[in-house]
Amino acid sequence: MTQGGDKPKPVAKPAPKAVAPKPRAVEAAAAASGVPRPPPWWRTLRADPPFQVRVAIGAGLIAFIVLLWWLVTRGDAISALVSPSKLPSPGAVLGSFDSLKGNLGEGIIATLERVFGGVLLAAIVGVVLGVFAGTNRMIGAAVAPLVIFLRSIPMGALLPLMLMLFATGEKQKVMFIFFAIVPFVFSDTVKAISIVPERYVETAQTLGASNRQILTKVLVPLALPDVITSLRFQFGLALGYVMLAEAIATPSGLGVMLNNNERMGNIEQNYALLFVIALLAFMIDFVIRFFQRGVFQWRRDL
Amino acid sequence: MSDPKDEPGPHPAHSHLPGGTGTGPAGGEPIKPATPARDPAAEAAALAAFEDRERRLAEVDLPPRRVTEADTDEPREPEATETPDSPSKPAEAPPVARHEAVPKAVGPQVSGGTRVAPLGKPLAKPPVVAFDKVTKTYGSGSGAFTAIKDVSFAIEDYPGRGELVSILGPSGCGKSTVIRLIAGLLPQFPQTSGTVLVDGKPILGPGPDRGMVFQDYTSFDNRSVLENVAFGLECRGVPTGERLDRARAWISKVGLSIKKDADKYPHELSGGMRQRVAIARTLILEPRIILMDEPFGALDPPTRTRMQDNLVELWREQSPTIFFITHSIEEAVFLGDHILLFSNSPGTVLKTIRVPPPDRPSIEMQRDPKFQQVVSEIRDVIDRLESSSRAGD
Repeated sequence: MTQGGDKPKPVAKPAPKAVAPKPRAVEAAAAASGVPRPPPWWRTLRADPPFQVRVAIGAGLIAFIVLLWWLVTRGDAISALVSPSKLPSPGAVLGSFDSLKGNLGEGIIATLERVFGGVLLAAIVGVVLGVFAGTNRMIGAAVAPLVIFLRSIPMGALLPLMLMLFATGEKQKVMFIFFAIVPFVFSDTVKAISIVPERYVETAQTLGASNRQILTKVLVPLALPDVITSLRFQFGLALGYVMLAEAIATPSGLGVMLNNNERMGNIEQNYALLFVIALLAFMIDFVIRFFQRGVFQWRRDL
Repeated sequence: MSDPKDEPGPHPAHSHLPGGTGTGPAGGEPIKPATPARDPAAEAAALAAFEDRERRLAEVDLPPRRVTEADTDEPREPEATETPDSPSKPAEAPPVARHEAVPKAVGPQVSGGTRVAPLGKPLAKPPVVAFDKVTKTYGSGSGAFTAIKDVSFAIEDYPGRGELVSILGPSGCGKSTVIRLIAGLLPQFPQTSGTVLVDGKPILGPGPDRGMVFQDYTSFDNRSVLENVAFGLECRGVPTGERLDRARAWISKVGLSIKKDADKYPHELSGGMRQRVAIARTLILEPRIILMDEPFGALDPPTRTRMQDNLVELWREQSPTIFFITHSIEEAVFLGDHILLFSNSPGTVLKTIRVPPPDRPSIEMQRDPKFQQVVSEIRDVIDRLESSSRAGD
């Protein structure tokens, strides 16, 4: 309202072109009129190409790789450059979806249940503890060494312990995911609380907010988008960890299917499964981000 | 210390600032002794020059504030009745002020830490803010840093009208320390030594009676304009409907549009609009004291003058005591009843200067050659003080 004059006025439009002149003619005309032309995007640092160009080059690279794939796997087991036991042809992988379909849905559901269970548990424990540790630095100082220790344990090293503690049931997998990601959820939450500028706290204080009100009305709402971002990343990692957990004595799940295929030499299906898993991870991330953007519209960087 | 103004009797033709600003010219005012760490000779010279200048400053003939019929919504006494100083008048000269029955013109001449009761009878109430020999030192030993040293001043409490005190001084001179001490904000609070009293009582911590507007934009990003303005009422437990109604009223008072702006989020606002939100959010709680730390510092000049006018309007309506830190001498002179002039670090109050209160829109007043003269006189004073202390480094 008051800053009407702040925005730069749009640059005057170039004079309307005459009957579709050739590019060279335009350049010449521009040079003649003395109006300098901006450099094209391919000669400008960090300039985005037009949308169509971006899509075209992205799809182009994929097409090139598939073409290469097709070329090196062309022919039969003897004539192909790469043996089909290592890399089956694109057609074979595509064809294996037929036999895959049967227990794919069941596998996806079983795996996602474990991942959601573990992440949810880690979110509840990690976020609640993180909020307290972020606001009360005494708690923070107390748990800091423990968290550093937990963060430093390689995920795989946790697995045998989980098997000993929780045997081979669902609990073992959920707890494995929980222990693998809770230290990270915790530290990200502490950080999200800490980086809310002190000015906001001071402002709230001079507006009469109590410590409790500052926590619930200022710190937590402002930290929440970063916490959700952390959970989103951890969800992606958890999907990876669960494959590891499912390698041992599990009735169903995507990890089980990968292992069974390996044992039966069904390499086409494993390639197909990798595509499915990648697509699944991407879709879940996309959905969470979509809601994140909708809920936290005031954060434009999500 | 015998300050001439302690005496109730009339002074020889002192104040030539019309409009009842009653400036005590520098003549008899006590001067703060130079801070030890600096070159005393150079600073004494600067202060002597200052006195000389202020004497001339007092002669600058700023136009008197005229109260017309149109002004009736502002309960200001026609101060024209109080002609520039009237030596013949008795000590009980009719108290004249912006609001009725308030001894504004003969108000306290705060200077160098001396609290001076208005001519006539002393005030019954304690000053709204009183600093007595306040020092703030961070750290200890060789790494110690003294932000302010022996700062003393008192701002009187008049019922129905607050003073607007501009705080002017070089960068890093502890201006922010002073108002953060009043606000009760760490780590400036508490002071290392001396006493800070608000309404005669020591400060315990931050509270809604002392609102604060910062220079950086502090609108809560996750709240709409409306929710931002209602924040303080929400903390008080005011029911939703009532607090939103009151917030809407304040949104329009600070010059924002209820329809267009109330539901916007801070990232959709310009700097000026954000500061309007911050002001509304503070004033809705009707604080006794408002602390403003360079609130308009980041705004472009036209926005800035509009904000100044809006602030003056709201100040007259609500009459809080305002402390206003600024780097702009124009802004200090336009807004202030007083200017507290701070020295270089460690900060001390060098001088309290009375200036005519704002009686016209900022733009108009600043165009006045007489106003500009006051500004340039003060600028000279500051330049001298700064160069003198630099020479002493």
